[in-house]
Amino acid sequence: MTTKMMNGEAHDTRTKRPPTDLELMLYVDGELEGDRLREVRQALSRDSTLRNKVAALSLSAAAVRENAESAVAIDLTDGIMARIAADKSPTRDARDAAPAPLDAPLERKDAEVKPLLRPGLDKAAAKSTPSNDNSRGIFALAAIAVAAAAGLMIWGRMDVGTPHPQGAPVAAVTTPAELPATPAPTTAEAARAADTESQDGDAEPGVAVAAVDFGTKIGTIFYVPAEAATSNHTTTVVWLADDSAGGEQ
Amino acid sequence: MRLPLFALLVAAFGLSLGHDPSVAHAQDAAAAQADASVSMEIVVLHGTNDGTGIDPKIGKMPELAKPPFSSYNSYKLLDRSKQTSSKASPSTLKLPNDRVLKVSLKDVVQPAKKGDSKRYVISASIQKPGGSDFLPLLEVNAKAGETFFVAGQNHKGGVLVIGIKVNP
Repeated sequence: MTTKMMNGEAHDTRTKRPPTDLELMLYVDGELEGDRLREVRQALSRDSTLRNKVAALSLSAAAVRENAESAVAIDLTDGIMARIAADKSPTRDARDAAPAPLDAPLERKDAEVKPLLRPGLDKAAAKSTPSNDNSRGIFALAAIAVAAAAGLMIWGRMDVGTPHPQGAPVAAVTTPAELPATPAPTTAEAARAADTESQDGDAEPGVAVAAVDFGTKIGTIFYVPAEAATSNHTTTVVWLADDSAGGEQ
Repeated sequence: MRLPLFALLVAAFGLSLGHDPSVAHAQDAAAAQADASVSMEIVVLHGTNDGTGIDPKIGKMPELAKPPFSSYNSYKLLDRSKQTSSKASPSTLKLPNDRVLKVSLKDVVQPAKKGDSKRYVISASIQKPGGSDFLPLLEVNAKAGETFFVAGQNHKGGVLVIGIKVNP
Protein backbone atom coordinates (compact mmCIF):
# COMPACT_ATOMS: atom_id res chain seq x y z
CA MET A 1 0.00 0.00 0.00
CA THR A 2 1.50 3.33 -1.08
CA THR A 3 0.98 6.69 0.31
CA LYS A 4 -0.89 7.76 -2.79
CA MET A 5 -3.20 4.82 -2.55
CA MET A 6 -3.70 5.46 1.10
CA ASN A 7 -4.65 9.06 0.42
CA GLY A 8 -7.09 8.08 -2.26
CA GLU A 9 -8.69 5.29 -0.24
CA ALA A 10 -8.88 7.39 2.86
CA HIS A 11 -11.24 9.74 1.13
CA ASP A 12 -13.31 6.80 -0.01
CA THR A 13 -13.44 5.28 3.45
CA ARG A 14 -14.59 8.56 4.97
CA THR A 15 -17.36 8.95 2.38
CA LYS A 16 -18.54 5.34 2.49
CA ARG A 17 -18.43 4.71 6.22
CA PRO A 18 -21.57 3.03 7.60
CA PRO A 19 -24.17 5.38 9.12
CA THR A 20 -24.32 5.64 12.83
CA ASP A 21 -27.46 5.18 14.90
CA LEU A 22 -27.74 8.91 15.29
CA GLU A 23 -27.58 9.39 11.54
CA LEU A 24 -30.22 6.71 11.14
CA MET A 25 -32.48 8.54 13.60
CA LEU A 26 -31.92 11.76 11.71
CA TYR A 27 -32.74 9.91 8.52
CA VAL A 28 -35.99 8.58 9.97
CA ASP A 29 -36.94 12.06 11.20
CA GLY A 30 -36.14 13.50 7.73
CA GLU A 31 -33.41 15.73 9.09
CA LEU A 32 -30.49 14.28 7.18
CA GLU A 33 -29.49 16.22 4.08
CA GLY A 34 -26.98 16.43 1.25
CA ASP A 35 -24.32 13.87 0.39
CA ARG A 36 -24.71 12.09 3.69
CA LEU A 37 -28.36 11.45 2.98
CA ARG A 38 -27.39 9.91 -0.35
CA GLU A 39 -24.67 7.82 1.25
CA VAL A 40 -27.05 6.61 3.98
CA ARG A 41 -29.56 5.59 1.31
CA GLN A 42 -26.88 3.67 -0.55
CA ALA A 43 -25.85 1.96 2.70
CA LEU A 44 -29.46 1.04 3.44
CA SER A 45 -29.81 -0.46 -0.01
CA ARG A 46 -26.80 -2.65 0.58
CA ASP A 47 -27.24 -3.56 4.26
CA SER A 48 -30.36 -5.32 5.55
CA THR A 49 -29.37 -4.75 9.19
CA LEU A 50 -29.47 -1.05 8.65
CA ARG A 51 -32.82 -1.39 7.04
CA ASN A 52 -34.15 -3.26 10.05
CA LYS A 53 -32.85 -0.54 12.34
CA VAL A 54 -34.54 2.13 10.28
CA ALA A 55 -37.78 0.17 10.38
CA ALA A 56 -37.62 -0.12 14.15
CA LEU A 57 -36.87 3.55 14.54
CA SER A 58 -39.72 4.47 12.27
CA LEU A 59 -42.08 2.31 14.26
CA SER A 60 -41.10 3.75 17.60
CA ALA A 61 -41.29 7.28 16.23
CA ALA A 62 -44.78 6.65 15.02
CA ALA A 63 -45.77 5.26 18.39
CA VAL A 64 -44.38 8.30 20.23
CA ARG A 65 -46.15 10.67 17.91
CA GLU A 66 -49.44 8.88 18.41
CA ASN A 67 -49.13 8.93 22.25
CA ALA A 68 -48.15 12.58 22.26
CA GLU A 69 -51.18 13.56 20.28
CA SER A 70 -53.52 11.56 22.53
CA ALA A 71 -51.99 13.21 25.67
CA VAL A 72 -52.57 16.69 24.30
CA ALA A 73 -56.17 15.83 23.67
CA ILE A 74 -56.86 15.24 27.41
CA ASP A 75 -58.41 18.39 29.01
CA LEU A 76 -58.17 18.50 32.83
CA THR A 77 -59.79 21.92 33.25
CA ASP A 78 -63.34 20.67 33.50
CA GLY A 79 -62.47 18.11 36.13
CA ILE A 80 -60.60 20.58 38.30
CA MET A 81 -63.32 23.20 38.13
CA ALA A 82 -65.92 20.58 38.95
CA ARG A 83 -64.00 19.60 42.06
CA ILE A 84 -63.64 23.25 43.17
CA ALA A 85 -67.34 23.77 42.71
CA ALA A 86 -68.06 20.72 44.80
CA ASP A 87 -65.81 22.00 47.69
CA LYS A 88 -68.11 23.63 50.35
CA SER A 89 -65.58 24.10 53.18
CA PRO A 90 -65.81 27.35 55.36
CA THR A 91 -62.27 28.35 54.52
CA ARG A 92 -63.02 28.45 50.86
CA ASP A 93 -66.29 30.40 51.49
CA ALA A 94 -64.60 33.07 53.61
CA ARG A 95 -61.80 33.45 51.17
CA ASP A 96 -64.07 33.71 48.17
CA ALA A 97 -67.10 35.41 49.67
CA ALA A 98 -65.99 39.09 49.51
CA PRO A 99 -62.80 39.50 47.62
CA ALA A 100 -61.18 42.88 48.33
CA PRO A 101 -60.74 45.08 45.33
CA LEU A 102 -57.15 45.35 44.23
CA ASP A 103 -57.15 49.14 44.16
CA ALA A 104 -58.49 49.49 47.77
CA PRO A 105 -55.94 50.27 50.54
CA LEU A 106 -54.99 47.24 52.55
CA GLU A 107 -55.61 47.62 56.28
CA ARG A 108 -54.65 45.04 58.86
CA LYS A 109 -55.51 46.13 62.38
CA ASP A 110 -53.71 43.25 63.97
CA ALA A 111 -50.50 44.40 62.35
CA GLU A 112 -50.66 47.95 63.66
CA VAL A 113 -47.35 49.14 65.14
CA LYS A 114 -47.49 51.16 68.39
CA PRO A 115 -44.47 52.88 69.98
CA LEU A 116 -43.25 51.22 73.18
CA LEU A 117 -43.21 54.39 75.27
CA ARG A 118 -44.77 55.54 78.49
CA PRO A 119 -47.71 57.88 77.99
CA GLY A 120 -46.05 60.87 79.59
CA LEU A 121 -43.02 60.60 77.40
CA ASP A 122 -44.80 60.36 74.11
CA LYS A 123 -44.31 64.02 73.20
CA ALA A 124 -40.69 64.18 74.09
CA ALA A 125 -40.05 60.89 72.43
CA ALA A 126 -41.82 62.02 69.34
CA LYS A 127 -39.52 65.01 69.11
CA SER A 128 -36.40 63.03 69.79
CA THR A 129 -34.20 61.66 67.11
CA PRO A 130 -31.12 59.46 67.41
CA SER A 131 -28.89 62.49 67.11
CA ASN A 132 -30.79 64.17 69.93
CA ASP A 133 -30.27 61.12 72.13
CA ASN A 134 -26.52 61.41 71.66
CA SER A 135 -26.57 65.10 72.43
CA ARG A 136 -28.46 64.45 75.65
CA GLY A 137 -25.73 62.05 76.74
CA ILE A 138 -23.04 64.56 75.91
CA PHE A 139 -24.95 67.25 77.81
CA ALA A 140 -25.06 64.96 80.83
CA LEU A 141 -21.34 64.32 80.60
CA ALA A 142 -20.66 68.04 80.31
CA ALA A 143 -22.79 68.74 83.37
CA ILE A 144 -20.93 66.08 85.34
CA ALA A 145 -17.58 67.51 84.28
CA VAL A 146 -18.58 71.04 85.29
CA ALA A 147 -19.91 69.80 88.62
CA ALA A 148 -16.69 67.87 89.25
CA ALA A 149 -14.63 70.94 88.41
CA ALA A 150 -16.65 73.08 90.79
CA GLY A 151 -16.34 70.44 93.50
CA LEU A 152 -12.58 70.26 93.06
CA MET A 153 -12.28 74.03 93.30
CA ILE A 154 -14.36 74.22 96.47
CA TRP A 155 -12.59 71.28 98.04
CA GLY A 156 -9.20 72.69 97.20
CA ARG A 157 -10.01 76.04 98.77
CA MET A 158 -11.25 74.40 101.93
CA ASP A 159 -8.18 72.24 102.17
CA VAL A 160 -5.51 74.94 101.83
CA GLY A 161 -6.01 76.49 105.25
CA THR A 162 -5.96 73.41 107.41
CA PRO A 163 -4.33 70.40 105.88
CA HIS A 164 -5.06 67.27 107.90
CA PRO A 165 -5.24 63.58 107.26
CA GLN A 166 -8.51 62.20 105.98
CA GLY A 167 -10.69 60.32 108.40
CA ALA A 168 -9.04 61.56 111.58
CA PRO A 169 -11.57 62.45 114.26
CA VAL A 170 -11.68 66.07 115.28
CA ALA A 171 -12.67 66.81 118.83
CA ALA A 172 -15.15 69.44 119.86
CA VAL A 173 -13.76 72.86 120.59
CA THR A 174 -14.57 74.03 124.08
CA THR A 175 -13.53 76.75 126.47
CA PRO A 176 -13.99 76.50 130.23
CA ALA A 177 -15.92 79.31 131.89
CA GLU A 178 -15.49 78.29 135.46
CA LEU A 179 -13.14 76.35 137.60
CA PRO A 180 -13.59 72.62 137.13
CA ALA A 181 -14.48 70.77 140.27
CA THR A 182 -12.18 67.88 139.44
CA PRO A 183 -8.65 67.88 138.07
CA ALA A 184 -9.89 66.43 134.79
CA PRO A 185 -12.78 68.54 133.54
CA THR A 186 -15.78 66.66 132.28
CA THR A 187 -17.27 66.93 128.84
CA ALA A 188 -20.41 68.58 130.26
CA GLU A 189 -18.36 71.35 131.76
CA ALA A 190 -16.57 71.76 128.51
CA ALA A 191 -19.86 72.10 126.69
CA ARG A 192 -21.01 74.71 129.17
CA ALA A 193 -17.79 76.54 128.67
CA ALA A 194 -18.31 76.45 124.94
CA ASP A 195 -21.64 78.17 125.37
CA THR A 196 -19.95 80.89 127.36
CA GLU A 197 -17.40 81.36 124.68
CA SER A 198 -20.04 81.75 122.07
CA GLN A 199 -21.53 84.53 124.18
CA ASP A 200 -18.22 86.26 124.61
CA GLY A 201 -17.52 86.21 120.94
CA ASP A 202 -15.07 84.29 118.82
CA ALA A 203 -11.40 84.79 119.55
CA GLU A 204 -8.95 83.47 117.02
CA PRO A 205 -6.93 80.62 118.51
CA GLY A 206 -3.20 80.92 118.11
CA VAL A 207 -3.08 77.19 117.72
CA ALA A 208 -5.83 75.40 115.85
CA VAL A 209 -6.38 71.69 116.33
CA ALA A 210 -6.40 70.12 112.92
CA ALA A 211 -6.91 66.53 114.01
CA VAL A 212 -6.91 64.56 117.21
CA ASP A 213 -7.27 60.91 118.07
CA PHE A 214 -7.81 60.24 121.75
CA GLY A 215 -7.80 56.50 121.24
CA THR A 216 -9.65 54.86 124.11
CA LYS A 217 -9.21 57.88 126.36
CA ILE A 218 -11.65 60.65 127.06
CA GLY A 219 -10.26 63.94 125.96
CA THR A 220 -11.32 67.54 125.88
CA ILE A 221 -9.96 70.54 124.03
CA PHE A 222 -9.96 73.84 125.89
CA TYR A 223 -9.30 77.29 124.58
CA VAL A 224 -8.04 79.50 127.39
CA PRO A 225 -9.17 83.09 126.84
CA ALA A 226 -6.77 85.49 125.21
CA GLU A 227 -6.47 87.84 128.23
CA ALA A 228 -4.96 85.00 130.22
CA ALA A 229 -2.31 84.25 127.67
CA THR A 230 0.99 85.94 127.06
CA SER A 231 0.12 86.27 123.43
CA ASN A 232 -2.92 87.98 122.01
CA HIS A 233 -4.49 84.67 121.07
CA THR A 234 -6.30 82.03 123.01
CA THR A 235 -4.28 79.12 124.26
CA THR A 236 -5.17 75.62 123.16
CA VAL A 237 -5.13 72.88 125.76
CA VAL A 238 -5.74 69.21 125.07
CA TRP A 239 -6.66 67.46 128.27
CA LEU A 240 -6.87 63.71 128.50
CA ALA A 241 -8.27 61.59 131.31
CA ASP A 242 -5.55 59.23 132.46
CA ASP A 243 -7.00 56.03 133.85
CA SER A 244 -3.64 54.66 134.99
CA ALA A 245 -3.21 54.08 138.71
CA GLY A 246 -1.60 57.31 139.80
CA GLY A 247 0.68 57.34 136.85
CA GLU A 248 3.61 57.30 139.20
CA GLN A 249 6.67 55.67 137.78
CA MET B 1 -23.16 70.20 67.90
CA ARG B 2 -20.79 67.58 69.18
CA LEU B 3 -17.63 69.61 68.75
CA PRO B 4 -18.67 72.54 71.00
CA LEU B 5 -19.80 70.12 73.68
CA PHE B 6 -16.53 68.27 73.53
CA ALA B 7 -14.75 71.61 73.78
CA LEU B 8 -16.90 72.42 76.81
CA LEU B 9 -15.86 69.18 78.45
CA VAL B 10 -12.21 69.84 77.83
CA ALA B 11 -12.53 73.41 79.05
CA ALA B 12 -14.26 72.34 82.24
CA PHE B 13 -11.59 69.78 82.96
CA GLY B 14 -8.87 72.29 82.25
CA LEU B 15 -10.60 74.83 84.47
CA SER B 16 -10.66 72.36 87.31
CA LEU B 17 -6.96 71.73 86.91
CA GLY B 18 -5.96 75.29 86.27
CA HIS B 19 -7.78 76.78 89.24
CA ASP B 20 -7.34 73.92 91.65
CA PRO B 21 -6.06 75.52 94.86
CA SER B 22 -4.57 72.20 95.86
CA VAL B 23 -2.03 72.80 93.10
CA ALA B 24 -1.13 76.11 94.71
CA HIS B 25 -1.04 74.35 98.03
CA ALA B 26 1.36 71.80 96.60
CA GLN B 27 3.53 74.63 95.32
CA ASP B 28 3.48 76.21 98.77
CA ALA B 29 4.41 72.92 100.32
CA ALA B 30 7.27 72.55 97.88
CA ALA B 31 8.49 76.01 98.78
CA ALA B 32 8.29 75.12 102.43
CA GLN B 33 10.63 72.22 101.89
CA ALA B 34 13.51 74.67 102.13
CA ASP B 35 12.73 75.41 105.78
CA ALA B 36 11.12 72.11 106.68
CA SER B 37 12.92 72.11 110.00
CA VAL B 38 11.66 73.90 113.06
CA SER B 39 12.92 74.58 116.55
CA MET B 40 10.53 73.94 119.38
CA GLU B 41 10.59 74.52 123.10
CA ILE B 42 9.00 71.86 125.24
CA VAL B 43 8.25 72.42 128.90
CA VAL B 44 7.09 69.73 131.27
CA LEU B 45 5.24 70.91 134.37
CA HIS B 46 3.93 68.99 137.32
CA GLY B 47 0.64 70.29 138.60
CA THR B 48 -0.34 69.49 142.16
CA ASN B 49 -2.45 70.91 144.92
CA ASP B 50 0.32 70.99 147.50
CA GLY B 51 0.03 74.73 147.91
CA THR B 52 3.56 75.58 146.90
CA GLY B 53 2.41 77.87 144.13
CA ILE B 54 3.85 78.32 140.71
CA ASP B 55 7.52 77.62 140.23
CA PRO B 56 9.35 80.85 139.29
CA LYS B 57 11.44 78.86 136.84
CA ILE B 58 8.39 78.43 134.70
CA GLY B 59 8.40 82.10 133.89
CA LYS B 60 5.44 84.19 132.78
CA MET B 61 2.61 81.85 132.09
CA PRO B 62 -0.67 83.44 133.16
CA GLU B 63 -2.69 80.60 131.64
CA LEU B 64 -1.88 78.50 134.71
CA ALA B 65 -4.19 80.65 136.79
CA LYS B 66 -7.08 80.00 134.44
CA PRO B 67 -9.14 76.91 133.88
CA PRO B 68 -8.48 74.14 133.33
CA PHE B 69 -5.01 74.69 134.83
CA SER B 70 -6.46 76.35 137.89
CA SER B 71 -7.65 72.95 139.04
CA TYR B 72 -4.20 72.76 140.55
CA ASN B 73 -2.75 75.51 142.67
CA SER B 74 0.91 74.55 142.33
CA TYR B 75 3.05 73.98 139.27
CA LYS B 76 6.65 72.91 139.25
CA LEU B 77 8.95 72.90 136.26
CA LEU B 78 10.25 69.40 135.64
CA ASP B 79 11.94 69.89 132.31
CA ARG B 80 12.56 72.51 129.67
CA SER B 81 14.21 71.49 126.45
CA LYS B 82 14.70 72.69 122.92
CA GLN B 83 14.06 70.27 120.17
CA THR B 84 14.59 70.52 116.47
CA SER B 85 12.11 68.65 114.38
CA SER B 86 11.74 68.15 110.70
CA LYS B 87 9.61 66.13 108.38
CA ALA B 88 12.22 63.48 108.11
CA SER B 89 13.24 63.25 111.77
CA PRO B 90 10.68 63.75 114.51
CA SER B 91 11.99 64.70 117.93
CA THR B 92 11.33 62.53 120.97
CA LEU B 93 11.34 63.39 124.64
CA LYS B 94 11.19 60.95 127.51
CA LEU B 95 8.65 62.13 130.05
CA PRO B 96 9.01 61.73 133.85
CA ASN B 97 6.48 58.90 133.77
CA ASP B 98 8.65 57.02 131.26
CA ARG B 99 6.27 57.70 128.45
CA VAL B 100 7.69 59.11 125.27
CA LEU B 101 6.51 62.29 123.62
CA LYS B 102 7.07 62.34 119.89
CA VAL B 103 6.76 65.66 118.07
CA SER B 104 7.22 66.12 114.36
CA LEU B 105 6.83 68.88 111.85
CA LYS B 106 4.41 67.82 109.18
CA ASP B 107 4.09 70.88 107.05
CA VAL B 108 4.76 74.58 106.79
CA VAL B 109 1.84 76.60 105.48
CA GLN B 110 2.72 79.83 103.81
CA PRO B 111 0.56 82.85 104.75
CA ALA B 112 -2.49 83.42 102.62
CA LYS B 113 -2.22 87.21 102.97
CA LYS B 114 0.80 89.42 102.87
CA GLY B 115 1.91 90.39 106.35
CA ASP B 116 0.63 87.24 108.00
CA SER B 117 3.07 84.80 109.47
CA LYS B 118 3.40 81.28 108.25
CA ARG B 119 1.95 78.44 110.25
CA TYR B 120 3.42 75.13 111.21
CA VAL B 121 1.55 71.87 111.21
CA ILE B 122 2.83 69.99 114.22
CA SER B 123 2.00 66.40 115.04
CA ALA B 124 2.36 65.06 118.57
CA SER B 125 1.80 61.69 120.14
CA ILE B 126 2.54 60.06 123.49
CA GLN B 127 3.45 56.43 123.77
CA LYS B 128 3.49 54.24 126.83
CA PRO B 129 6.59 52.20 127.62
CA GLY B 130 4.87 49.07 126.39
CA GLY B 131 4.42 50.59 123.00
CA SER B 132 0.74 51.36 123.19
CA ASP B 133 -0.45 54.89 122.62
CA PHE B 134 -1.63 57.17 125.38
CA LEU B 135 -2.32 59.89 122.84
CA PRO B 136 -2.33 58.37 119.38
CA LEU B 137 -2.45 61.60 117.44
CA LEU B 138 -2.69 65.32 117.93
CA GLU B 139 -2.16 67.55 114.96
CA VAL B 140 -2.23 71.30 115.34
CA ASN B 141 -1.73 74.29 113.12
CA ALA B 142 0.33 76.80 115.08
CA LYS B 143 2.02 80.12 114.54
CA ALA B 144 5.54 80.65 115.77
CA GLY B 145 5.61 81.82 119.41
CA GLU B 146 2.25 80.23 120.27
CA THR B 147 2.17 77.53 122.94
CA PHE B 148 -0.25 74.66 123.07
CA PHE B 149 -0.59 72.23 125.96
CA VAL B 150 -1.17 68.54 126.36
CA ALA B 151 -2.19 67.71 129.90
CA GLY B 152 -3.89 65.11 132.00
CA GLN B 153 -1.36 62.35 132.61
CA ASN B 154 -1.34 61.23 136.20
CA HIS B 155 2.00 61.67 137.91
CA LYS B 156 2.88 61.57 141.59
CA GLY B 157 -0.43 62.77 142.92
CA GLY B 158 -0.83 65.38 140.26
CA VAL B 159 -0.81 65.76 136.53
CA LEU B 160 1.76 66.40 133.89
CA VAL B 161 1.32 69.46 131.76
CA ILE B 162 3.35 69.60 128.56
CA GLY B 163 3.71 72.87 126.74
CA ILE B 164 4.97 72.94 123.15
CA LYS B 165 5.95 76.16 121.44
CA VAL B 166 7.34 76.71 117.98
CA ASN B 167 10.20 79.15 118.21
CA PRO B 168 10.15 82.01 115.73
